[in-house]
Amino acid sequence: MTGDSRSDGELLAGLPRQAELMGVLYERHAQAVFRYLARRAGPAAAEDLLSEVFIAALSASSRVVAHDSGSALPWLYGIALNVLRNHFRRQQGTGDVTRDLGMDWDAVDDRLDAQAERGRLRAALQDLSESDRELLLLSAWENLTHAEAAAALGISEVAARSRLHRARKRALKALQRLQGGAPANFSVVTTLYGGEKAS
Amino acid sequence: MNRLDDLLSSAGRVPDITPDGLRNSRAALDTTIAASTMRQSATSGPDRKPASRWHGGLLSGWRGKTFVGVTAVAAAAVAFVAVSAAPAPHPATPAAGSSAKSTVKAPAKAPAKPKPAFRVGFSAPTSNATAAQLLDEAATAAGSQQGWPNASYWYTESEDTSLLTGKSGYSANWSDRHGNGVTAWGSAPIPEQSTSIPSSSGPPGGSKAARAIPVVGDSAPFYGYTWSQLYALPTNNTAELESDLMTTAGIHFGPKAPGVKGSWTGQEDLFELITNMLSGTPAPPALREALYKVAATIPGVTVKGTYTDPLGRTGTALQLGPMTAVIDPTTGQYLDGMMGLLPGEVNCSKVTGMCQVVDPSTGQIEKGAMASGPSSTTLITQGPATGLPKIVG
Repeated sequence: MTGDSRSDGELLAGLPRQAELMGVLYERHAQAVFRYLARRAGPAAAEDLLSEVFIAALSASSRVVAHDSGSALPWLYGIALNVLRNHFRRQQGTGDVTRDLGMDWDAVDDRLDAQAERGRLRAALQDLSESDRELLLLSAWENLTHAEAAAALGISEVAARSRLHRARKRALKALQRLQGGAPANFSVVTTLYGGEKAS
Repeated sequence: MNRLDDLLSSAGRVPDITPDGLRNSRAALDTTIAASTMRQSATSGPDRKPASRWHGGLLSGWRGKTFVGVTAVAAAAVAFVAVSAAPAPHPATPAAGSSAKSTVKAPAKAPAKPKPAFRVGFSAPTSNATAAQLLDEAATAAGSQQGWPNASYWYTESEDTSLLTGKSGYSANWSDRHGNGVTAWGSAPIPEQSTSIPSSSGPPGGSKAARAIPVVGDSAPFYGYTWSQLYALPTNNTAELESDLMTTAGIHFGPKAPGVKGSWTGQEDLFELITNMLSGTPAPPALREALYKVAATIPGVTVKGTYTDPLGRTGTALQLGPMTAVIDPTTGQYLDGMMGLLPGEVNCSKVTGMCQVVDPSTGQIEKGAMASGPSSTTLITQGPATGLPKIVG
């Protein structure tokens, strides 16, 4: 089944007439889409949502061509993000305006051993808008190129590059802040804020 | 690889899907495919043409940010710890009376009025000038600054200070004309003359030792522009420059998305981009002048007051949303940028890890996590460099 020699582009072009081609794309990309979902929502939710992504892709497939890189993955990640947003929205009801629609932090924390690491990751990503964070993670976790990440998010490549630059800068700054040295006379204060070591 | 990438990479490790999970999802998909195939054969007609490019528009409007403004104090349930601290004196300039007092108040039985706590040193503005007037003044001054069209390398050093804890760190960047360079950080200043800096992946060194990572050239390293593009940007037409910046950075003006956590508006993004370009690129004087002029056209920028930065320099603080920039309008120098909670009284809970800040001028309260702010980034210096330091170890 994975031996199909047609490119993603050819499969996508055929999808509007032959829905069964989505099965070939599934065999090719299900693992990667699962990892995308698992990184953001945890493995259990990811198993539940995996088929939803490909089913949603099926109904969106009349409007797609493969990314210039030839891979359908950037497009599938874009759909997976929408599926995740809906998933988190269902989970959290409608009243809460502080919800984070892109990320289940508990699931992320499960993968980091030390409490300190969790704090650092949150601090690093906290100053980012959800969209900039997604851009950073698509590049760091899914190894997408600027152009592919841009396609996944429906923005221009130039914008993706500029935003990724900004996102990395903000994230690095946040980490520097956590790790910067503290003047001695602030040791009491830094102790109070637990988890940060005074130098 | 650097600390950020290490952290992201360990947070990105997930197990593979189970064989059962893979089969079950495929079965669910096949059911839908079968239904869809029946529909297709019922309505089969000429080939449908795929659209030129799928455009998800996922980003449009979905801009989250960290802090959410709240209008009511909900202090009853949480014991807040009040902290008094003076703004961090710069290590090189020991301030008089540097015995900064740090008092910790035990959680009170009845957490009545949180004690006035941390206060960033804003004083009243020295004139009645509006933000736009000050930015225009800075524009004119910046236009007559020195430029370095023939520089081969660019160097920027800044100090990052947590305004809550007083902790500060230094970072420095070197870049060649192609964007290849070095980023270094440490707990002591990192001068331009540094010839070699230990690699961040090397063996542990002294606590003050700077660490460095190489920066691999990107085709447009300066916020989407190359060094030579910075010299080619339109500087005689504010609207044209603004439109170029917004296209390059993918910024859109428009209402915030409803119901989404926080949000930076397009105006706030543009304001931040301009401060970044003033503080971290070899922008020529004409471009600096034009950037200030664009900033002067952004509605909503307010004058926070006069601010003395950690280096003892005095400037005017201008705020738009989550971003405050300190500039010296008389010289056109960009001095300092602050992000995070509004400066003012800060009360933090070590139980929840959250702080709330009262803006003294408006009485508005903002909430945010302690780890993330408020913080300032002080531009210590930027200018041409003689070369790139070596990364060793």
